[in-house]
Amino acid sequence: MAAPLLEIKRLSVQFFTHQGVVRALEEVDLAIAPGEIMGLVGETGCGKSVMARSILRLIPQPPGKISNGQILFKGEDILKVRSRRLREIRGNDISMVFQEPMSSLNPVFTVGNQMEEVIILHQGVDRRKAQGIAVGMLQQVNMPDAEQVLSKYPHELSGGMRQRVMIAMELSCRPDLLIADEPTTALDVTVQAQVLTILVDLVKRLGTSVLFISHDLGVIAQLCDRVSVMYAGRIVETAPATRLFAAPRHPYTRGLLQAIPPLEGERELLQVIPGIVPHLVDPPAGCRFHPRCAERFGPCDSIMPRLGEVDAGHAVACHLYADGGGGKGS
Amino acid sequence: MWSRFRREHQWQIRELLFTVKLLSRNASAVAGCLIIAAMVFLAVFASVLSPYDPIRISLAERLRPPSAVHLFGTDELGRDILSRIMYGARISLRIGMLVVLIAGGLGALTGAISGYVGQRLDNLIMRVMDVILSFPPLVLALALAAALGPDLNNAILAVAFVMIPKFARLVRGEALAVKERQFISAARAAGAKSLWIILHHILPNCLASVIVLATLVLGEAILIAASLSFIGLGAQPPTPEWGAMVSVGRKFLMDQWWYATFPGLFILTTVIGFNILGDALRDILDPRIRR
Amino acid sequence: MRLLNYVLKRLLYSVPVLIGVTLLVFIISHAIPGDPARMMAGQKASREAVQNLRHSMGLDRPLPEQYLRYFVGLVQGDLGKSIRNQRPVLDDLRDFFPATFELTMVSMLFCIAVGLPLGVISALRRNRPIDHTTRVFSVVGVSMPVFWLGLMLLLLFYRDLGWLPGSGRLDVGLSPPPHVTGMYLVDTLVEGSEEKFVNCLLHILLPAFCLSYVYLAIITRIVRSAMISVMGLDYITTARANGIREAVVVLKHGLKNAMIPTVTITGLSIGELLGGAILTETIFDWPGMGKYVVDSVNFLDFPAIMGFTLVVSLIYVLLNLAVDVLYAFLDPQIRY
Repeated sequence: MAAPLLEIKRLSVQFFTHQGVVRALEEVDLAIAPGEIMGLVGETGCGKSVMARSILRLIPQPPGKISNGQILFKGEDILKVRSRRLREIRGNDISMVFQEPMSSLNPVFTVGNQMEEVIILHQGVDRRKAQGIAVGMLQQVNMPDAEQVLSKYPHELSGGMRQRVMIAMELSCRPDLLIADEPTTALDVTVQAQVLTILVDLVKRLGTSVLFISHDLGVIAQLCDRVSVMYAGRIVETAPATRLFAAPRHPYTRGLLQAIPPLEGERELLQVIPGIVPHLVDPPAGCRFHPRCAERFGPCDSIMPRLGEVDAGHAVACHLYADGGGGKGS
Repeated sequence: MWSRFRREHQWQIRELLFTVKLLSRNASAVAGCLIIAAMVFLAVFASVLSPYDPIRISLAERLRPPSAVHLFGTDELGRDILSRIMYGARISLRIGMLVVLIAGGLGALTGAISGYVGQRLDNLIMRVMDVILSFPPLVLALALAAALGPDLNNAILAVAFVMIPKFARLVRGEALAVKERQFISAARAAGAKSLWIILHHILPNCLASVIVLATLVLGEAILIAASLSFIGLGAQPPTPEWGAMVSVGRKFLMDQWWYATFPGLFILTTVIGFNILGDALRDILDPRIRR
Repeated sequence: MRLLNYVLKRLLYSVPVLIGVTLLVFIISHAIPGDPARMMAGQKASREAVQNLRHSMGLDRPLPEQYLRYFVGLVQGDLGKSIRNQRPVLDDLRDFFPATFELTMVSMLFCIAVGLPLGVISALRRNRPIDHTTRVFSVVGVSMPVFWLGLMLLLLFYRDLGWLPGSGRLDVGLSPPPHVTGMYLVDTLVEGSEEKFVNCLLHILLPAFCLSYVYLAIITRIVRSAMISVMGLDYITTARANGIREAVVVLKHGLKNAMIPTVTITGLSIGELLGGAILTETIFDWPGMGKYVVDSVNFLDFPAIMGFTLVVSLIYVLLNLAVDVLYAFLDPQIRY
């Protein structure tokens, strides 16, 4: 396998709040290959956004703190680079699209102004050239009347159009990695499909890797090459998409997939995972999922399981599979 | 009877106690309250506390600097300035309270009616308020006070008039918001008269923001009234109003610095007290923060 | 184009307000005790002469008609005659206007130049010493009796330190520059007299600072509060995520947005400046409209007082209109 484009190793992030120290991310491992669309799925509050923002060091410190770990981008540890290099990376080598198109664009500047600003900054071209590039990108996201859009203000555009502007803006400098943090969650369902199609087409054409974050399993299943499942600040399973949905290993993943009501077949009682997501100020000892896990045993409440390969490209963080694919009592 | 009141209003009482608790934790609120309490104390017990009679003239002791005998010195008629300042507290607080009562009462009622009735009447009333607000506050108060005659009570009326639109606008906004809510329709359906609805439902809902505004306006009123007195339009001699004292003190500024300094200091301190309390109240009563 | 539409609409809306202002001033002037005709004619005039004067002044006509006459007179620039010196009030005000304008302009510039950066820094360095100092200063500023501040400044800088003069626009020994704008700071430069310019500068320093104090506190406070709100918004994160330098993020992306509420509130607070000018000019013997009206008060010169009230309020309305236009210029969302 080729060298990973992005490698997150043992990343830990904490937030210091009035209620205590929130251990938002605990020893997170993740790797994204060049040209790959990696999905990151998990419930609200599991730490997906924190992880996404940590990659570009967008976590405000205070109250946050990246206490441990490495984020290796093409071998370079982003957590250790100097500000100048960080600014070179941001928007240029690694870009990010956020969830709320309504508020992610500056309301007092035109779309053109904001897009050109990024292009001029990273590509060193003049305004005229930057405009050309911007128009080109807008056309690539199927924006009608691309030239007119440049002189419009964000509030003059619909949500879907705004998100397409964001995508165009973030891909205009041809980054190696695009982080998409729930890019369509705030949009209407019909517009969602449209924007997602445009996004996937474009990144495939450009060869951009994507870290696609969502809580929507359906979207993840459609779009992603590989998927990582996150729970309470930890990655619990990572596998090629088809494998994950066909044969999930981690009890949480299995629970998630079982909880999706089937479209056909008999109506059964909705299978939910009992319990609630833990408060990250005082997370459960050992495996953070163990209080809700039907298959917990011995070491689960004291030792935190690490991600271990169970199959080619398939890793699980669960004691059930520790020591290479064993089971209970192995 | 008291227990019946407690039962009917238990929700409001709980809110009140919660507010007080939040206030006690807020440093600036406590500071503001202390300052105001000190001034109120001075005002109420002036007759007991003041070392001298504020109108006692003693030409032999005129224009003495601060000393152990006269803490803040004496004025041009030998009167003790500290004593006069204490009695001045009464005047200033009275000015503030009257302005707030008059402007608050008239303004809130006007605003409530305007917002509730809506349409043409609302338009008309708000235009009138706009016109009043088109004047810089001191300028309008000056014109009114001059027209009515140089007298402290006229100054109070003038300042109150200037403050009415602030209350009117605030309450009108709240009235507009509350008017659409369901319990109003329910009350109307039950046959309640408009005036009753205004008094019983709309006004109580605005209470929090009105109290914040009242606190801030109290301070502002004292300031404007003192400015009017300074110009010669408010309190007239020998009334020991702080602004008037500074005005006279100005004549003696270079050689008898204490005369203008201390009364003005009290104006500043009192208004600071109301302002920080008002700001703290505004933060505390903000519904987002209360949870 | 949309902007122009907005401006015209606002102008149109101002008209009834301006008329309302004249109406209110008219009503107030009729609350004045005493007989204006007798006051104009003097105590010694015969009853007949006063009657004639009353008739020629239109004081025996019904009120609405009097208002109409008044309004027509206003449009032609007739604000009545000052009782003190028998000159048209408009001429008096015109004479005293430049001094007030100069003082107010210098104060406003000072406030913006100091208040803006102070507010921004305060917002960026929240809860650090500079922020605490700024916040204390803000509270003290809005609570400050301007007339008292002026006296304290005189005590410190004039009496004790002797650094600055205590009154007037120019030293008594020097003659004022030939009239170009009426603003001495400008006119002395036009005249080429450096010495006079410095002298005028020294004279304006204390009154300008005194006048600025309240307004500065207001500006600092609102800039700080606006910046704090804005810097927490999503588009700031987007800008940072795109690699834009922090200074640009703050000053371009942040500040322009923060200016929107700032402009509105500071516009409304110009009233503080105009009111404060009355007190400041009195303390520092600054020969402007503010001092004029206070002198008129001492004389109970009602035409002068009402004339002043009217003119200053009209200026205030127009200034607020300008502020609204500026607001629309800054915030594209308002034009629709």
